[in-house]
Amino acid sequence: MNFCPVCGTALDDAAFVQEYWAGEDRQFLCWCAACAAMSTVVLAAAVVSHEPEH
Amino acid sequence: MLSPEKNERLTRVGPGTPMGELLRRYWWPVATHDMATRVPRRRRLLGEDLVLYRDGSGTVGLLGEQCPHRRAALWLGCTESTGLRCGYHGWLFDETGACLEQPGEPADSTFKNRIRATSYPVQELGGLIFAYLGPLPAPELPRYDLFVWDDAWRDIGHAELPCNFVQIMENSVDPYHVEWLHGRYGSFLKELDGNAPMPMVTKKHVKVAFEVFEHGILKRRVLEGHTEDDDDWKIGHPLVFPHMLRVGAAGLATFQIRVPIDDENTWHVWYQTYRPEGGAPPQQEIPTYEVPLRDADGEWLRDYVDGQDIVAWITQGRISDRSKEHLGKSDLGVILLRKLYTEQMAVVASGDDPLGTRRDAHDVIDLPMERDKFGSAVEFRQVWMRESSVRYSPIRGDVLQLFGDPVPAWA
Repeated sequence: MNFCPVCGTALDDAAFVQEYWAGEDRQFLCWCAACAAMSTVVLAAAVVSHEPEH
Repeated sequence: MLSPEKNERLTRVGPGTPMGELLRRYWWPVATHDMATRVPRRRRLLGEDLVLYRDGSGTVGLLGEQCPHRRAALWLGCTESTGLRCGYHGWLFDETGACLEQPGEPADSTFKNRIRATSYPVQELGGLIFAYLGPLPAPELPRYDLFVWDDAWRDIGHAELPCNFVQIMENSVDPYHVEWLHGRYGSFLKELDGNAPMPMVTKKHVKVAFEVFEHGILKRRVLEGHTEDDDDWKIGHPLVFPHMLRVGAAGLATFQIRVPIDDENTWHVWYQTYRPEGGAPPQQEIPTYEVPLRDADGEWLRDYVDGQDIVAWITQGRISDRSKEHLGKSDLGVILLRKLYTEQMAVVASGDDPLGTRRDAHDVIDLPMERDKFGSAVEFRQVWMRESSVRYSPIRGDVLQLFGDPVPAWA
């Protein structure tokens, strides 16, 4: 993760980026030192949804 | 996985590093009360070599190790009625670092007025000597409840652990380790010795939560067979930022204090209080003791809860290589703590006071902690005295008597 998903500022030395796993999904917790937003970016193995009845 | 750069930033505590600058905004225990005597003693804190002493007037001083004259160590020195005299050439310094005498210089010389030893403020509280290594003015020394209760007994255990302090702190926001490291592995060792497991640490975690609050991170959990109405969830217990865990129940409460000696070593202090219903009678002096790390064969001691923790921390390496770890959902408390350290480094860089520092004079800071946590109070105290570092306390039998509990043969 190179940029804050919220404000787009570079996630530099002062920022925090931590990889972890949730099942098959690779996730990154990001904290931006510029806007102070904490966000999670999910590199999902699959997009799981549901199909409404039709 | 954490990048090597971010791991470096998280774990380096020396002067000028982002974490070192953050940690220098807090008061740190640098010694137990009985370490400050007329005999100067070497101490090391946040990567700085220091000399602690108590002069003839009772004043405690903490100076940089090297004499500003010819750089000899000041632990090679004599305490005088006021201050510490370097053993090499007799220069005398007080606790502020002021040079009071230069015996070899001409009597009318003003040279001493331009010389200062590195010095740091110290305060004594609750049997510990606290030092502040940051920019002045120093914040108030936080008067956390366990340090100031006047109706509790105390003892202080301590050990130097060969690892960085962050991996110890991470253990405090990792509730799942309890059921495995202590519940399964600890029980496994007991099985091998023909003993029964400890039921209070084998319960599965149903739910955990972490909440950043004014003192650090409040940790809550629901264990198997418990509900959200139990103290473990309703009250929880805190990681006191940036360096302490508070745990206990049934009149026993402990601060586990993780003091960075340098990047690769931590002085671990188990600060224990004993406070029965109605309070304890006055205690003459707070006993201190060293917690051993190895048995007679040189093996790491791990037949008790704190020993198991210690070995888990140390075996991660001097500085855990977090670029090779694999975190999951059960590690979110660890991630939150790392994020909090990072965030507070930025707070300091912007010129503000970080989380938990106090500028206002205060009498006591009360911290939340579960009261009813482990079932029978008598049984819990028996287990605590046997399975925690308190097993090495010189007053463990007296403590059980203080509570009116039966004193088993091993105590």
